[in-house]
Amino acid sequence: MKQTELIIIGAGPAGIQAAITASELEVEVTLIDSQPSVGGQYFKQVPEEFNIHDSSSHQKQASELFNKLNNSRVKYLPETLVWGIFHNPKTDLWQVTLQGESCPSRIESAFIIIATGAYDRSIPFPGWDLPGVITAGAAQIMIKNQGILPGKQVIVSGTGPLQLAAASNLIEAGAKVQAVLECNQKLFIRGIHHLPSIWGQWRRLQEGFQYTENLIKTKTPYRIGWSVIKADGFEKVEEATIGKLDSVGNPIQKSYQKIAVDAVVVGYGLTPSTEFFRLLDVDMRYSKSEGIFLPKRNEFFQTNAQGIYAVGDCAGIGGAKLAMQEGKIAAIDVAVQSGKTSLTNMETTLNQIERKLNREQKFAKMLGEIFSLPDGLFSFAQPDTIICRCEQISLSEIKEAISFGAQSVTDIKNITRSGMGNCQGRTCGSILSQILAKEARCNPEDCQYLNIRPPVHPILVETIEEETTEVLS
Amino acid sequence: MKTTNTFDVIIVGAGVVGCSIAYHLTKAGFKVALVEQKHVGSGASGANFGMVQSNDVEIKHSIPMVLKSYKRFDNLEKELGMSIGFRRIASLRLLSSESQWMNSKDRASILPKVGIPYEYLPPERVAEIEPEVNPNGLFGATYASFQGQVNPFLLMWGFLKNAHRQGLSLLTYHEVNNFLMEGSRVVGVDTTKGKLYADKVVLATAAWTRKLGLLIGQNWNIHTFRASAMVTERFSDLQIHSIVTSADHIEAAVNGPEDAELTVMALSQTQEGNFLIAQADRPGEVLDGKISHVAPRTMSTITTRFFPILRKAKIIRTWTAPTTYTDDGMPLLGPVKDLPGLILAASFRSAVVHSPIAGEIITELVNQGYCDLLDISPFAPERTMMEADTVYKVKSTKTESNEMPE
Repeated sequence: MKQTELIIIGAGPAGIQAAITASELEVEVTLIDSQPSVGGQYFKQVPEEFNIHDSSSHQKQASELFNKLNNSRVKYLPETLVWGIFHNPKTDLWQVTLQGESCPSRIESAFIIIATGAYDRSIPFPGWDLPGVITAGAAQIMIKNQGILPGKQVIVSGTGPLQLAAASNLIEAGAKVQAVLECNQKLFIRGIHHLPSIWGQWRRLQEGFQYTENLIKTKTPYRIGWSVIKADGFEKVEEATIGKLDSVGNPIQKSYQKIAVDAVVVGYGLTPSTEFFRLLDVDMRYSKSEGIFLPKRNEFFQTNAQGIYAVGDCAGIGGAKLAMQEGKIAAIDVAVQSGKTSLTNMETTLNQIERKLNREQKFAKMLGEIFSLPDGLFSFAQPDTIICRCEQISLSEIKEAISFGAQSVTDIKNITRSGMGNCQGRTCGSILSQILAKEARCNPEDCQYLNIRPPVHPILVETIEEETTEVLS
Repeated sequence: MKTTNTFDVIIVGAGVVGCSIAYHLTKAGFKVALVEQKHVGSGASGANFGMVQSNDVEIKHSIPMVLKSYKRFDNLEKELGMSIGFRRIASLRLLSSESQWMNSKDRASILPKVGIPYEYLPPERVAEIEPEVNPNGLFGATYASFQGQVNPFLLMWGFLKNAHRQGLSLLTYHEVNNFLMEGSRVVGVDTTKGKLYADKVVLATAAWTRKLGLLIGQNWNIHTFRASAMVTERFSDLQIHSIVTSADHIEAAVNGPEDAELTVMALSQTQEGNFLIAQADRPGEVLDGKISHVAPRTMSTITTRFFPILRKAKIIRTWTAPTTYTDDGMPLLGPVKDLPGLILAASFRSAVVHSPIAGEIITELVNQGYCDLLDISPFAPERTMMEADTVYKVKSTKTESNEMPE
């Protein structure tokens, strides 16, 4: 069995930083990522032929980090999927099971830092499953990685800075953005409380200005308190219905407008990738701003499972800078726990990180509060709107299950099969709890969360069978 | 949840048996609370394949009970007013040697006489029924043509949906920490969310029964073992019509040779087209829900021996749950001696098939204090306390000729 001292899952900002720090402290590290190159979503490496305008400070930071990683002794496994984490009682180590062209099938270690980041959060509305309706993240991948324009006439709808970035990229790539719709009403009123947090975040504001510059130049309307309500089309999206929202996010019918489009890009923020924490059954807590359960962590970002750490966006949306500081701290703790250094040695370093950490946490909290989703958004779905896209389960089927007396999202899953498909509820899991909370008049946190069982990604029987095993009669 | 904390009956355990009891008791007009430590079906009931099996019945005392219960499935969907995914389906157990067939001979002589078809099939007949079975080394199969399968979740929720309308208080995420006593009488349970009182407390707690019994000085000799399984994506390259199991197995050490996991193939295709695959069993008192690191491999390995075509199927989920076993193969069913107010309905071999009758029996016991339907005296819980405290071990074929219970 292949063994190492530390396994890091995810090579985004948090994972890379954790790998560099741990390696500098003489810890033997294996860094695993599903993508062909390091960087994650934030430091996405763009193939040169598509390289469009990129903010230079961001680029500089990325290449510095990549250089450090390349010059370290970190063992890096690209294009490798982790499909399970098991406890092996024989070795008393964590066994990480892998799928990929050139990776071992299993690696064991006492420590795992999970840095799996986040993915686009979706809101169900009629037509959200039509081809041509895509998330902001998917739009950016299409433009940046594949050089494909998602559409020529596009509506961008959602909340927060990510959709602004997507709109800006779309404009640069030559799309006509009909409008950018921000669903949060009180953006500026909410934001004012957080002015002190913005202090020291000038570079970020600059980034924000770059995005808006493109909108202003092309006179793209930016409507606050609006959202896409519905998408229509034969086989692909042809028309979007947009509407104004009331103070809690419910659409106001008389405001509806129809717009001809060939793509709808939705960016309702991010959902942390908590699959591995639910797989390992670690203690979780409900976070209102993300609308899901997140792993509980100690001051070094260790979960209650011995040796399992959670850093970066997968443990709560906080952005790349916060993620990197968290990665550093977790890596230092692993080095201390495995006897490579001591806490007293690391005290000065930890204190320095702590200060940066506090600032980043404040900024993350601000973004979370400003761009948290109003409840009314979950009223867009109609009875025949598909909620679970893997198993094709509609809202009316989910409401019927609730009428049987379902009390948790798992109950709904078991009755309807919603969340039982390939993605194990990645998209519909948090939506189910919003629907149940509304129907049963309880808090979303009382609805619990969906279990995850291995494999985290579908895996061929032949990749895990062992032909040499003896069958007894 | 707006309920008071006093009921006619408290049922502990929202598995398939507890849900059925809740349905039958509320139908009879009782005020019932169904108390569950996690969510509905979070123990063995949510982990099983939904087999409505009569061919693996304990043959000394359980046949009348199983037959009565089995017949209820013909009308259950109508009675519950919804689909529970019920279908009649054959069960085929692949044999690789004559000695494996000899082990089933008792069963084959008794079951057909009581109306449960059970016979030996030569390899060529197996090939007709399931053409994709690997014929290499096949001695034949035992064939039980008249078995059944339900969706276990829909069965539980079919009971609950009706119980809900009949006024059931379903109290999930209420873990029972202790019993409430008045002298020797059980008068309720103390849960993580408060005390609940009732005239009768029914334990439908399967693998958790022993732990609860120890709180009140009852050491019911119920053994736990964990059973694991997995499911594939919908896979259209193969269609199978029966529940196909194997007498052959794989042994794999988890902690060491003393703690082997024993894997047989158990395969069935859902009506949606997914394959439910294999069964890995391992003894142990651990009640958590984590599958061992060897089970996905052994389940994949044994399945492709019999169905090579399944190499190309994608596994989407594996799972495990603690299930139970008694030395005589019979449940603990009936009032608990010397502890008035407490009734057991635990450790059924095949809980799905027993669930309707368990509901009827418990309702009679609550209603009139005794059971007219059938003689339940062989199932008296106290019998298990008189037995030696044996430990269930995987019976290794390396040391003795044996096989897994079907």
